[in-house]
Amino acid sequence: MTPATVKSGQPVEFQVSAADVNHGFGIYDENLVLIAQTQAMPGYTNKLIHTFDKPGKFKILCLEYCGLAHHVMITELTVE
Amino acid sequence: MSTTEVSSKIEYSDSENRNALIAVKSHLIAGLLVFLLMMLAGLAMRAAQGTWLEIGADLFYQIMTVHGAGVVGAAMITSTGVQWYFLRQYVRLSNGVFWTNFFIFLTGVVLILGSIFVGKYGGAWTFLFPLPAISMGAWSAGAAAAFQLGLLIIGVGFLILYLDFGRAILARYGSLARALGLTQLFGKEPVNYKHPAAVVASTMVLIVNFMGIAAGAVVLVMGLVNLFYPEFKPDALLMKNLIYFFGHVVINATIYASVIAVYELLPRYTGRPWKTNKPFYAAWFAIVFMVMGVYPHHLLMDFPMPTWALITAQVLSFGSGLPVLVVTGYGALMIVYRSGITWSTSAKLLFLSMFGWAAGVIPAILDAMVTVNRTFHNTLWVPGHFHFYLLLGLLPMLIGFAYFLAGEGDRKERPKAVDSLGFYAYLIGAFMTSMVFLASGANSIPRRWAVHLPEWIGFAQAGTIAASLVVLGMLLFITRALISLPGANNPR
Amino acid sequence: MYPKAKQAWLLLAALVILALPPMQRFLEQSMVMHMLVQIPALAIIGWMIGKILPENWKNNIAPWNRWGITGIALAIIIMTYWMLPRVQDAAISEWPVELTKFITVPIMGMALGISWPQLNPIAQGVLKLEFWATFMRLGWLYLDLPDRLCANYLLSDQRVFGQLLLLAGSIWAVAWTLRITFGIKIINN
Repeated sequence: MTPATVKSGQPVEFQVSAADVNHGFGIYDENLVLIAQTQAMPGYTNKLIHTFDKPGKFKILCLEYCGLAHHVMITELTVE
Repeated sequence: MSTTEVSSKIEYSDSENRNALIAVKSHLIAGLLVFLLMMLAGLAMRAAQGTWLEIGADLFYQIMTVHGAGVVGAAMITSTGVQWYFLRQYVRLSNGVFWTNFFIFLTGVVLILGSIFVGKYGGAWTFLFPLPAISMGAWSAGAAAAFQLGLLIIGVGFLILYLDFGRAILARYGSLARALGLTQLFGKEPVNYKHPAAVVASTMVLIVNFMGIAAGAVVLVMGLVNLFYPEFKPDALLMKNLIYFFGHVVINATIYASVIAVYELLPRYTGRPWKTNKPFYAAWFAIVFMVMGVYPHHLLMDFPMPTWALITAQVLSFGSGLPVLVVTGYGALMIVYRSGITWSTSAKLLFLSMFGWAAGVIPAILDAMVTVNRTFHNTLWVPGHFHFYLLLGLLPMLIGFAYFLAGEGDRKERPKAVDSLGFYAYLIGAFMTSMVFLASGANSIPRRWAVHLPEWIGFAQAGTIAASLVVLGMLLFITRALISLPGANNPR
Repeated sequence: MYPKAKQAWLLLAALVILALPPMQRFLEQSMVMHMLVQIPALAIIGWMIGKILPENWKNNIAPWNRWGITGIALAIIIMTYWMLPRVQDAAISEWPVELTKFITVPIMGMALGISWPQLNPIAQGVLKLEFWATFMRLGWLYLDLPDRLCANYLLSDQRVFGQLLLLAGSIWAVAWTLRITFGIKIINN
């Protein structure tokens, strides 16, 4: 995911797609609360627009079953 | 006992009736055993998530795949047993076709089990394209093909059975519209309070499942083509639509097939007939379209979906389930109220199913709202909702029917202690299982994760305890069914 | 006997006309004409020939075709064979294959025509759904495949053919739904 850092207080557009199989794109805050999501699908780009209220380290979790490594698909997003 | 018309019932020879009873019992025993095994699988998954049991991720996802496919299959075969038992009393059904479907079903089950435990297929029962073809070496194209072929074969079996239903219903009523009670609803015929509810419900199930199987026949074969001819890349969103249409319709129809047990059995326990009327027909007519139209609520997080489809799905979801639920729930209350009903285990279970169905609708409606779906979609809220439906709505109907078939009603006996223990263990366990899932979902815990983050493990452990209670209750039910069902005579 | 004989001559004439080289070239110049006009026409001719076969011939076939199963199996095998794209190609470029087509496709029609009414209604239903699903599957395949399936036809032609299959399948589905829901009466009216 590029960039891995976005600014708080202004809308951020995530362009979500998938190269291989269906995935899910769930944004979790620091307390592991799901705040927004969309599907990631081969051949489509889903535009998810979200405004972060406060800065912090957010997590992106896969929310569509995508195979044996489904639960390992976690990445971080920094909001400044 | 029942005051419904005797003359309109179909007469079969004694040997046909004996054979039919064996067939229904086979469906029930096979289906309930699969349910029990799938509950054990579910227990294992919850224990693994709660770190009480060590399972590799590959095995976890295989268990998850078999759990999904197995429960859907068991729900289909058991509810079909209930439906067929009652429907054949009103239209002339073929024992041969019923058995044929049963054996085709078993063949499909063997293929699916082989694909999962021999071929290591772990692409979930939803076989969401293109996952079956892209496993990163975890399973072969052959394993994925065996799984989809198994589903396809099961679909053909049910198609054969529904064609027999259709033939028999048309032979007796001339058109499906008349069988559904539409001619009475729209005033072309006087309202006949004795028009069998079993025929109305079966006609609805037959229509929607026919459509579901047709969609399945296309999408499963397209998936198979892709497995062996990867240059063919069908549109992933279109495939998803068809898969969810197929899956949603087929699992939904099971509760509409099983509710026939409520219509047929509560009158026996209360001594009052179940009268069909215009609201009843209207509800069943509406549900034909609702069950088929709501599936896009699975796709609310797919933003390229056409808005009208999502809005339709959302609107229909609010009302889906309600019409039949209301007429059935209200009818059940009215029939039981001050009737001096004997609370046999069967009656208790059937009455519980009304509650499970009614309460199970609430989380479903919540999740179908776009704003809620944004943070609940693909969390454990979703399994919470359908475990509520299936454990407290569908299974009580099926087990209640099994008790009836085992002759409980004929002997007029009070429930034994072991039945009561089973009932309450099951009731508390099932309620807890669903609530823990719902609470987990409300706490953003994703579904289908083999390994849970440390923050989530407490929920999984509570879920494990709940699931063990369900297994205990089911074990007692099944033991009872296995002991008394095989030798039981046809209930009067 | 006279009308039957007359019909036989007409059918034979139709078959000969279809086999005339200019007619062949005309009907095989596009995939749509080839698959949706020529082959169905050959099958229909076979179906009609089946109807006017002498009774004693039919009686001789009957023991081999109980419940219509043999005939339907034969028809399905021929149908599946002629659905292979490379066979279509071969029919255009090699005359023995073309000759085979002109013989086997009418036989398929004949087998279907004789056996279908004898077939168990449930088997009929399963086959109907299977035929319908084949329309939808092939239509979808022809629309989505990146490459040409037949060396003799353009990709655009393949796309049109795919769309027509989907259209036919959709019309079929709607007609079938209406007929089943509102009963046989509407059809008979």
